[in-house]
Amino acid sequence: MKQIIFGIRFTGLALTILPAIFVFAGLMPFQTHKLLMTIGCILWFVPVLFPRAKANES
Amino acid sequence: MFKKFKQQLQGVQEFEKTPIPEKNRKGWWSFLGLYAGEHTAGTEFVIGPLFVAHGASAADLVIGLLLGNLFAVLSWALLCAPIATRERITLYFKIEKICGAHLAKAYNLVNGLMFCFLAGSMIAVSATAVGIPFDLPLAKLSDWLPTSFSWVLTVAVVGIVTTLIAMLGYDKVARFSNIAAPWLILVFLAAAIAVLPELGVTRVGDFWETATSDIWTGEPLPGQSKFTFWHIFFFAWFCNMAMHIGMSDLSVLRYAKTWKAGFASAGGMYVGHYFAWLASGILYAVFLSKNQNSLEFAPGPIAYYAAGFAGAFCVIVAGITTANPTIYRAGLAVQSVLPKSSTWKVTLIVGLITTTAACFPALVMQLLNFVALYGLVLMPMGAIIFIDFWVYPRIGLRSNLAALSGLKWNWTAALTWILTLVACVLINVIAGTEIFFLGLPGWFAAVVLYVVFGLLFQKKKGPRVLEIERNL
Repeated sequence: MKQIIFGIRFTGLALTILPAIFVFAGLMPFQTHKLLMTIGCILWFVPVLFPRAKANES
Repeated sequence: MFKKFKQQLQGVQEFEKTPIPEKNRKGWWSFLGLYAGEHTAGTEFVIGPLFVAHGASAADLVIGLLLGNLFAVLSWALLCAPIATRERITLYFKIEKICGAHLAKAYNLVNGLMFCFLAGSMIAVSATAVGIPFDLPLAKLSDWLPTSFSWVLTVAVVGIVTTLIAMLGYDKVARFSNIAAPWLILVFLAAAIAVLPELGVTRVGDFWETATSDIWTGEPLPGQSKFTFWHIFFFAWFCNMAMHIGMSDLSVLRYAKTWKAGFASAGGMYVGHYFAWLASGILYAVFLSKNQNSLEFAPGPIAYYAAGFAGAFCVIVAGITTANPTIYRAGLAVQSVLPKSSTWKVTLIVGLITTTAACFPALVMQLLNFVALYGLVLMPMGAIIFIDFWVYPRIGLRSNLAALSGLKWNWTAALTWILTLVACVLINVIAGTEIFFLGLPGWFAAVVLYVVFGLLFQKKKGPRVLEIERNL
């Protein structure tokens, strides 16, 4: 579970920075970069809730 | 749910007047997160653009920030952290031991008020992003008073949420900052990188030419003063003067396992006060080019333009993660004036004052001057603590005189504080020296005054001091 959450959060960070680099390199439209950053934001913050939920159950 | 929240609040233990126990001490990693989160903040969306507005040149900015931030890190690590990890008490209790209860209360009121205004500016920046869906009318560089009812309402909502988080204490604040920090930093960088093609930068090699000609041009906007290398160097060094040289971070670094945790401030300086200021300057240059040098100041909408929802959310989170520790510090300051009140009640009062102050756009538009003023006003007490801790025992004077003698008002410290500020005002008025440059001569003036007054007063009260020593 811990590794899955780490993977999700890492993907969130990657989706935050990589699209901007692709826009700079002319490989991605500006609007797509905004959409991917939003997904990255959700992936970064939402899994933070899971470890707490697990701790509360135990 | 309310009962659980109340129990949680009553369980908050911040060790205001006792040294931090071994088990509650934190490693440098915890401070790296705290500093990176605190200094990659909502105000960075204001300070970076203000450098552009004040006509800083690209070379002055890059070198000035590099050196100024280095001096800031050294101030944390070499001045503040060694005392914090030896004493392990809050700044406010330390001042009470040196200055006496009455002078400490006067200082704490000034300090708490300054922190409220600072946190207010951060909340105001967050509110510019919260207001995006409602097309909130935004203030201009020249505005000082609230511009609309919707602005006041938005600020009130952001202020209340920030205060509720701060009421839960230091651990919750550190946790929130640690979670948000890595993502915040990347949003700043990503937003700036993504808009570079709009300034004509499509290769890394093009950046410097565009930086000098289109971003940091060296030409101030109409009505703004010109910033040189020295403005930038001293601003970067002294913008957190109250926290390092002024010793406010005794309250935070007392949790550190060793004094070396002071170097963790580099996380905040080089990420927040270097890359984030450069990044927000780039975003502002794009805004100016698209809006014909408009004087409207809109951190939220600028970030939303560059990074969409994530950009706007970044401004909100960045404002709250900075306002939180600032409200926490202000709460500690006021609690020493009202020792019988619980931490959470005091933090609530402080949060309400902060929210009221945040309604005034002047806090944001004059942020550079306000930040310099707040550091300057609190700096003399940092010099007093430094000399009292390191120099007084070596020249035969008593440290922590008020705690030893029962003094309520230590005139040595009071005169040092007041006369240092008078000296700074005189330098400003007579020599025309700008506020950004007064911190350094002010610190040396405070050091000399505190040593001279200490020698005069403690010598004059010799029998009393000897009596204290006999009773030890």
